[in-house]
Order: sequence, then structure tokens, then C-alpha cells
Amino acid sequence: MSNSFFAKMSRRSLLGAAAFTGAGILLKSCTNSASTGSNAASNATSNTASQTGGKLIATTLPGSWEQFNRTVVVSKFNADTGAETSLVPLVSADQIAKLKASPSSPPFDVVSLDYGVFDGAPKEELFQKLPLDKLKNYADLAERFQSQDTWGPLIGIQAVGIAYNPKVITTPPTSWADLWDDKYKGRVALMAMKNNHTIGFMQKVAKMHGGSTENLDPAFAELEKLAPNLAGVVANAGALITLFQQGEVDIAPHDLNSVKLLQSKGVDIDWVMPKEGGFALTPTMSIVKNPTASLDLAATYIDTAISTDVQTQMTETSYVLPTNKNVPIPAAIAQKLGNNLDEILTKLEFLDWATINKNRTEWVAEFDKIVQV
Amino acid sequence: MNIAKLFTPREGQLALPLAIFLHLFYVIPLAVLLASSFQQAAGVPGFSLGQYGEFFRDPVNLKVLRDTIFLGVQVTLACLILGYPVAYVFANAPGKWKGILTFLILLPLLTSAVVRTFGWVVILGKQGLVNTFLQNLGLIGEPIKLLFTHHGVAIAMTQIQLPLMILPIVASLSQVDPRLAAASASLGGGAWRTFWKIVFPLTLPGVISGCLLVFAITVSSFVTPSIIGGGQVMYMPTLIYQQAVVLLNGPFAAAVSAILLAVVLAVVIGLSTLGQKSRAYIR
Repeated sequence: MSNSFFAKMSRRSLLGAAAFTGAGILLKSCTNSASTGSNAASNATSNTASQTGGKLIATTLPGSWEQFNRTVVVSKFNADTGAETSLVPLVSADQIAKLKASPSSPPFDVVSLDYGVFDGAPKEELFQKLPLDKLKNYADLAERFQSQDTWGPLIGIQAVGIAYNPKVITTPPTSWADLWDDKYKGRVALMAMKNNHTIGFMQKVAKMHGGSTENLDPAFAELEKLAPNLAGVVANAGALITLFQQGEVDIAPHDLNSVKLLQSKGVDIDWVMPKEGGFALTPTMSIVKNPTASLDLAATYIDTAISTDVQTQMTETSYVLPTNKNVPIPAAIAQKLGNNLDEILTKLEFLDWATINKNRTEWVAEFDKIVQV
Repeated sequence: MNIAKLFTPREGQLALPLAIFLHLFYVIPLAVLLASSFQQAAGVPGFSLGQYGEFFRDPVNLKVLRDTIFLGVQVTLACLILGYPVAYVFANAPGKWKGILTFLILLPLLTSAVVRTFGWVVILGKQGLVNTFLQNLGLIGEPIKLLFTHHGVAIAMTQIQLPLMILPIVASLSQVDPRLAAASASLGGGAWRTFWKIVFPLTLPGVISGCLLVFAITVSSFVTPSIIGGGQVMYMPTLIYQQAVVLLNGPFAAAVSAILLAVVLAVVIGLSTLGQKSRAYIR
């Protein structure tokens, strides 16, 4: 590759690129109209055959959610409907990115993702309202989770509190403020601000220091003071888990279900709800616009996920709190959080995602500015 | 124009399948990307340099750009310094060792970058191999912080990119006529002088293509910087991901991508000019 090669190539290749771009745009518009046509056709055919089979593509959050959805939700749904379900594990933001890339022929029929991210997406373009008449179990949801006009139900509640290593920290922390304690110098970890865990944490800290949902300035001031204690700011929950496993950090905000999963794998980790209360991260399920599978099938899949049966298993095996009011609270959760759902929910803040998403870009930039080394 | 002429096989036509593939899946998306970087906001038509202005106005973004280029240069130099001797040993090794050495050199490429990166998390941690080793030797009292630092990323990237530096240099070295060294020796040239005056210049094309590969792949790699660097050291690819996927700020992400592309292209053009010169020098 020589310099003259570049000089010679530029005009011709530019022309070629332009021609191909034009062709590409033409091609794209063709496929769009073609695929919506075939979608309509397949919708018509599969509608009639929905109870005797069909195919459904659903997303799942990765990790313990994938394991649970595969072994419980999908197997029950397939057995009930005779359908064939493919499960695609993707983090919330990637699900939205994939849908945005081809809104007229979406790669999935049903998505399952974090409500915080869902709320920030262009909902009208990508999703459709939940057809309540097609769901049998919707009335079993706790009253506060029901709505006549909804994009989809919350399928569980992840309680976020403080995760710590009980081998090193023998007296459990009691407050979010403990993260600033001198004795945890270099032992605290946070996920980056793009993670909803940290958004919620910053909200909590702001409110403890005179801020509000819109005003995170007090939390950013506190974040600067946290610097000596901070062992690291990790990219995501997966990286945080590695740090706990390696004994690299001892204390961090995290959710109960991830901590319980680690505990079951033999990692020295435990979880407490701080006295100021924790906050809730809420995965939701929604049907995409223009699904390839029939609407009946997609609605039934969501119905399965909120059924008493499935949510009982979710609560017992994954330690995700139920949104279905008929689910009993198992002892392991009751001991940490309270005996019934109403009591537990008073200790968990449900975040105002509409406000958060409006400020998210600015806050992420501010957070990055403070933690950059 | 004679139609039959179109169907007479020419060498260029053999590359046609790849050319079509690249145009469909690389050139067109690239054009779309560049086009969207000139949007004022996602979905707003019109031409604007606003996204680029925004990038260059913010000192945080400029630091990200500087860090990325610095990382690229650091890793390239480290790979060159560590990789050249390995390539030299390989080229001069007896035949039966070459198989084993090839395997050892290629070994890092046989596992996925994600797995290797998590391995480095274990090695670089405060209770990891490096710190335990240094502490047991009594060289350091307190563990040094490597994870979530620029140096940690540079160390891990160097290991991951090393094969890409070694292989082109090996190819270059194996083309050097061994009689040249003998001739140099007969004319009174010492081993050191022979190497610098004869062998090294002859392998410059290999060195340059190795540097090109390592630099381009380092500045555009995502997994290792995001896991080892965490949220505290940001590079261009992590910035692009954050803007495009997390913050849904497509046009800005496209502008950042275009800037990264421009940097890589500048280095590619610069190094290939150098490559051209070095080839002329050999003749």
C-alpha cells in the first residue's frame, strides 16, 4: 500500500461508494416494504394457528434471568401452547439498539428488559400497548402494578441494597453512608453511571444530602469525597462480580438476586438493606410493533411470565421479588426485607425514569468527569 | 465496447466476490455512518458540523482522544520491543523447534479476547499474581493499583496484540538471505553492526506492517479497555458504545467514530509512506 495508491484510489472509490450508497438506500426501502408485507401475511396465517404451535422469539436479560427464563418460563409456555420459543440473551440497551436498527422487521417478538432503559426508548416506534383482553393473569398483579393502558407488565422486582464480604466486614453495614467510612479505603466498587444500579445509588445519595430526583449535584459532590475509598468503577455487573470473587473489593451497591446467586456458588458475599431504604430495578416485558409471531402467542408468553406459578418459582429460586400478589414470600427474603409484598415495597424506592432519562446524558458525562483518573 | 471482453477472465475479477461483499456490508454502512455524523440530531435532516464542534469543545472528549492515541503508540512500541527478539529467535531456530514456537506464538490467539481479559483481571488485581509476586520479593510494601488504570490496559493489550506484531516480522526475517550476514562477517562486520546495518533495515517492511496492525486494532478495541479500564479510563471505542447504545445519541457516536477512523487512516497512510521509503532503501 503506497501513498500513490491512496491518491489514485480516492476519486474512483468515492464515486463507487456514492453509487453503492444510493443502491443501498434503494435496497433498504425495498426490503422495508417487502418485509412489512410478509409480516402481515404471516400474522394472518399464524393467528389462526396460534393455539397449535408457531414460533416466538423472545429476549431475556443475561445471567440468572436467562437461566430462569429458559428453564421455567419458556418450558412452561412451550408445553402450554405447543409453540417453539427461541431465547436471545441481550442486555437492555442492546435490545433497544437492535430494535431501532430495523423497526419494521424487528428481530424479536417479545422483549424483556429493564424498565429504566425501556422508558428511555422511543416506545411508540418500537412497541405496542399490551392487549389486556388476551391476558388471563393480569388481574393477579398487585394493584399498584396494574394499569388499563400499559406497554407491558413489570415481571419482577430486583431489590438493590449493599453487597459486602462477610469474611472481611464482620459487622454488616447499616447505611449507604457506610461506603464513605475510612475503614473501607480502597475497598468500595461502583458500576459506571450507564448502569441503572448506579443511577439509583446516586439518586439515593442525592436525596440523603438535600438533593432531589432532578438535582444530583449533592450526590456528585459526595462522589468526589468517595474517591479514596473507590477501588474501581467497573463497566457492568459482570465485572463487579469478578471483583468480589477475587476478593478485590468488599463492599458495593448491588441487587439481592445477584448476591444470592453468587452465594450459592460459594462466594463470600452477603446483602443488607440500608436503613434509608433501597431502590427497585424492574424488568418489564413488552410486545414489539410488527411482531413476526402472532399477537396471541406473544401475549400468552407475557401471561406465563406473570402467572402465580412462574413467579413463585422466580421468587424461590432467583430471589427476584414478585409482582404477582398471590406469590408467598419465602423465608430467606422475608428475613432480609419483610413478610409480605406490601411491607417490602415500602422499603424500596421506585425511580422516576422519565426524569432520569431526560438528564441521563448529562449525568453520565458528569459522573465520568469525576471518576476519570 | 465489446461485450465478450467483459467475460474474458482478468485477475481483478477474482476479487469481485469480496469486493461486492465489502461494498454491501462495509462501504455502504460506512457511508451511512458518515452521513449521520453530519446530522444536527438523530432524525433531523440537513448538514451540520455541530457534532464535531461538540466533540472538540469538551476537554473530557479531547482527553479520551489523547489517551486512545497514547495507548495505541504505547502498545505498538511495547509489542515491537518485546516481539522483535521473539521473531528473531524464531527465524533462527532449528526446524524442529519452529513448530513448537509457532504454537506458543499463536497461543494467545486461540482463546477469545474476553477470556484473556478476565484472566488479566485476576493477574492485575491487588491480590493478583503481579502484586503478590512483587510483595513477596519485598519490592513494594503496599499493593500497586494496576486494575482500572491506563497502565493495566496497556499491559493487557500488549499481551493480546503481540502475535500480530511477531508474525509479519517473522515473515520478513525469513526472507533475509542468510548469506548477507555471512558476507558482512567476512568483511569484518560484528554481529551487532550486521544486525543494525543489514538485518534490521531489511525487515522494516515487516516491522511497519506489524505496527500498522497493532496500532489500528489497539485504538479500536473495545472489550479489554472496557473491562480492565472500567469506568475510570475511557477510550474512543468505549465512548462510542456509551453514546450510541446507552445514551441513544447516534449522530454524536457517528462523529466520534469518524474522528477515530480519521486518526487510524492518518497513521495507516503515514506508516505506508514510510513502508514505501523503506522498500526503496532495500533496493
